Amino acid sequence: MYLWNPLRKLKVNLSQYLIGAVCIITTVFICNIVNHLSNLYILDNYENEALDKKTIYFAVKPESYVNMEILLEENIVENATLLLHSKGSGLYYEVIFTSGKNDIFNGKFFTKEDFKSENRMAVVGFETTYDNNHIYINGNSYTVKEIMKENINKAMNYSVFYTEGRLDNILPSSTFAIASQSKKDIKKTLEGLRSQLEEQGMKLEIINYRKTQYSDFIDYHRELLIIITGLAIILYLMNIVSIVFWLMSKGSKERVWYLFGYNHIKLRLGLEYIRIFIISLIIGLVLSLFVWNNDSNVIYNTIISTSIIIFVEIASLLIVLSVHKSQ
Amino acid sequence: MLIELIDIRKYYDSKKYRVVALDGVDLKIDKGELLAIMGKSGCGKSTLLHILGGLIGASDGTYLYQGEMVDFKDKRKLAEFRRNNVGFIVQDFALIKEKTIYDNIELPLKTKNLSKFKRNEMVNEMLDKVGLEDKIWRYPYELSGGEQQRVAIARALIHNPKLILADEPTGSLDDENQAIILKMLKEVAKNGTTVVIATHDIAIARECNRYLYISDRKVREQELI
Repeated sequence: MYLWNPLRKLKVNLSQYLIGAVCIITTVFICNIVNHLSNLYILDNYENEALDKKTIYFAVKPESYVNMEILLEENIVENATLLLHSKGSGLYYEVIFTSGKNDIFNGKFFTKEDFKSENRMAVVGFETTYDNNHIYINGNSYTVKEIMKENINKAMNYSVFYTEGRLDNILPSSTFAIASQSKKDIKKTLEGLRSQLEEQGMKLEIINYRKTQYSDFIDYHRELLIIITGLAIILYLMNIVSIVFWLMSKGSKERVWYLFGYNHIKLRLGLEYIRIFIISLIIGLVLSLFVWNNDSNVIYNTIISTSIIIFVEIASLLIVLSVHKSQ
Repeated sequence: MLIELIDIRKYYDSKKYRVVALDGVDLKIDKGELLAIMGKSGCGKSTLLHILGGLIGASDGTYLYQGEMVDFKDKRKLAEFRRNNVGFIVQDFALIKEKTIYDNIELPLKTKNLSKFKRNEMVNEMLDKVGLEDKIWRYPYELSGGEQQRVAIARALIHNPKLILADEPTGSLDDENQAIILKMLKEVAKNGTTVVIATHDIAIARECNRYLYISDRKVREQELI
């Protein structure tokens, strides 16, 4: 009498399980790498996360003290905020001037008078910690004027916007930034500033800050990226080797298909592989999702990881199938 | 007449030289015939069988199947020819190891437009005929050599082909199983299916209606002594 034994199926489909395991390892590896790099990138560029993509960055040449009192009289900065943006300053932003309807910071903000009051003041994010209505930045105490509403942008909830309360003596050793909800207002502010600075004998140079973010990131993490690239190459080769072994194990099936007049044998094999791959991909993604704890980027990271995995697996399959000699 | 080969030649060309496998084969095979093709290893038995089955094309010559020419150049038509007309039995059984006996036998039916119910009925009927109805959900590795070859015969017959090509079908079997397989093939031929067996075993050839010998890359008719 025939007795059901689950190990029988495991034994005959061993190559299938092996290739599935390789796909799962690839998925988990790529998901974790994408997640890790994404977190590193966010951490490195956290200060930018509080400002949106419309923000324009610029430098003032030559680098000397700039008198910005002119901003008080004329409507140069209207419905926009002018900040000093220093790389590595984390989530601390020095606000030079802000004016008009400016809801990027969601709530009450500095008034024109605050910028000439000669008092150090700060507006802090919803989650920012401070002591007794004061916050300390670079050893200086700033009075907390307002707390912003909770923001969907996590970085904003930990950000601190502060002013030195003086416009006549600004040292532009770092980059300026103009932020606003409206691109038109940013452009108008930029042009206004440009002509004012030119009158003072200075030049405004736009910096493509986002463009340099990627090269900076590569420079900071060169060693890690080399290791990851090496591992990725090993994994890619592992995929190709496993597909070759899997195809070899399918030799008898391929032969029988050919004997009995099946058409499109390579396509059939490819589809069989894709079926295993899809199941493995789902398992791998579920495993990775259990490990991930960064909820804000899960969807984005999953889309990126899945695209990379699909590309890697399908490219491996096509390479192997293209050199594979059918019956 | 089922098959007529006229001046069939098969050669394999490399950059430096040409290997001639068959050189001007003329052959006629009737319906329901049990035919043995004999010869030494490498004489071209399998090549001839492969041409008969449409697995490979001839380099020259004409192949008429039921009076119609077989087009060797069109791979799709050759696949269709195999699908509709030929059943193969080989020495190593060529069973798919990760499929059950049921799935292996059902395989030729999957290219036909048949319902699952009909296919199930046909497979069960065939398993009854070869006496393996109790092994339906086993895997090939769980069967003996003789049983595996019976599965291969069942698979070759399931789609009712007019031509069965058997390449050393008893080559890896003991005497008892050899006799069972031969008996089955004779039974198949008796029912009107043409069976061509490539073998180097004279005992098998003696069981056939006709016996051909390949030497010098040509087919010669032999009288059985």
